[in-house]
Amino acid sequence: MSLLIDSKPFGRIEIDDRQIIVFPVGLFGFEKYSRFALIEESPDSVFKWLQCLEDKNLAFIVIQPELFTSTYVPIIPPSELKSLKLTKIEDALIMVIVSIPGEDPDLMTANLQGPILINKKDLIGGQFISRDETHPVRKLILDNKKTPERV
Amino acid sequence: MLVLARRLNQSIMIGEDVEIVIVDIKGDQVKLGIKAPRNVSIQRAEILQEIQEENRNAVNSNINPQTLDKLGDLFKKKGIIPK
Repeated sequence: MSLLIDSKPFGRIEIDDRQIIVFPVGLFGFEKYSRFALIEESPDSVFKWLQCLEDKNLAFIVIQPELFTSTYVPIIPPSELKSLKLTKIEDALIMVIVSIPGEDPDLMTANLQGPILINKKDLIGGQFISRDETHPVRKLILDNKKTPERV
Repeated sequence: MLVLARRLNQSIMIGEDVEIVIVDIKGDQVKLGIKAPRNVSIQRAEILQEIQEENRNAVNSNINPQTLDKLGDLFKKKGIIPK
């Protein structure tokens, strides 16, 4: 079923209800917002938007971490994965939140310490803390030659 | 805030199933042992605060979607094809 939503990046757009993901406890610092839609400019867009349905001005830019780091697997206790009705992390869609400084977009960073995990089947999501302390909150995505830093 | 004085190896209970034990004290550092059910999430407060702050920072990213999509092209040139 499709529906119309108001989004920060694209204004009023039509989405499919399978794009709507419920975050039962919100995101850190945004605990009272629980319904988000995963939207994108085009199906092959690298960056996607996690648009809050309860506040048009609340939208996070997200990316799949494997596009710039091939070794990243967040360490999340199984007891926490249960909140997404998942038993192992391999079954989750992993996205990380991107911060883009207005004055220099090339210095964009991704939050590898607080990844977003989504159960695509049941459309439940959450933000978790990776117990691997080498996962930084601000990981540069592009290296200085302006190519994705893939290590 | 409730403030309790404890000595080495003493503990406090929070509710019925969370116990915090003073395991070691050295100078200005205290080691705490925490016994809690698996479903209780335990975090260093500063990590949580840092992620909250970074989330707020991320929301303020002001970039128009067309510019963002152009940045995404850098990935495609590299032959990394998104799923």
